[in-house]
Amino acid sequence: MNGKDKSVLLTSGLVKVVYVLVAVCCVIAPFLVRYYDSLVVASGQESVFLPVLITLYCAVPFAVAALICLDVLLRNIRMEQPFVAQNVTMLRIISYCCFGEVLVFVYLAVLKPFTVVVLVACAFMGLILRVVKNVFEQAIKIREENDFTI
Amino acid sequence: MRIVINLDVMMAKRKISSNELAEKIGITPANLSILKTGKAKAVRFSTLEKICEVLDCQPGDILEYDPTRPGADEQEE
Repeated sequence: MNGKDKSVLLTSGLVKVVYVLVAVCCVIAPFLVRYYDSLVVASGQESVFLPVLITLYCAVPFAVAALICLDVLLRNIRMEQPFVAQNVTMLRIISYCCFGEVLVFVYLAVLKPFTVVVLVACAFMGLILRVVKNVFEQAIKIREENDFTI
Repeated sequence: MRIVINLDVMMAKRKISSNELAEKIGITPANLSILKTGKAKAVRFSTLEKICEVLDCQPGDILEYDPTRPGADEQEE
């Protein structure tokens, strides 16, 4: 196993860890948010328990979809097929997931301006992924041209 | 693609099989099939040179321009 394979395996392992983290967060989210909300209320501000909880749970489907796409992407890379149309689709879906997270966090950003950081990070990540997707599209075109040059 | 490959016509004239031609010009039968079926996107001069050498013909005998066919950019990807 060379360094490149190890790197892909490590990334794949990290994706699995994030799967578990997302599942754990889903279970303990009400308790964490309750604790955060108690601090907010103690500081004299209005309770944000429901908006935060709803935002977190709305963010989960996008996160899981992105993780599944990452898994497929890594599987294709392990099979030495990085420049295939399926990977472009996966990158497109992940970028849409990032933009989906932006929409989810818009309402919370109005209530709690510091969450704008999450919103901007997701938007920026979505933008980067779109560029990467365009690069992959171009690479597929070049690879096809090369494969069909006799 | 408006460029038509008439390789099979030339092969029939020279009475040479696909496998034999592929072996003589040093490409795989699969690649020769891509070339014969018009799926190829490009042909290297070195390949064309070997084909002309083996079939004893000119590039014009193998390649033809047909303006009535859809162009490479108009074809579905």
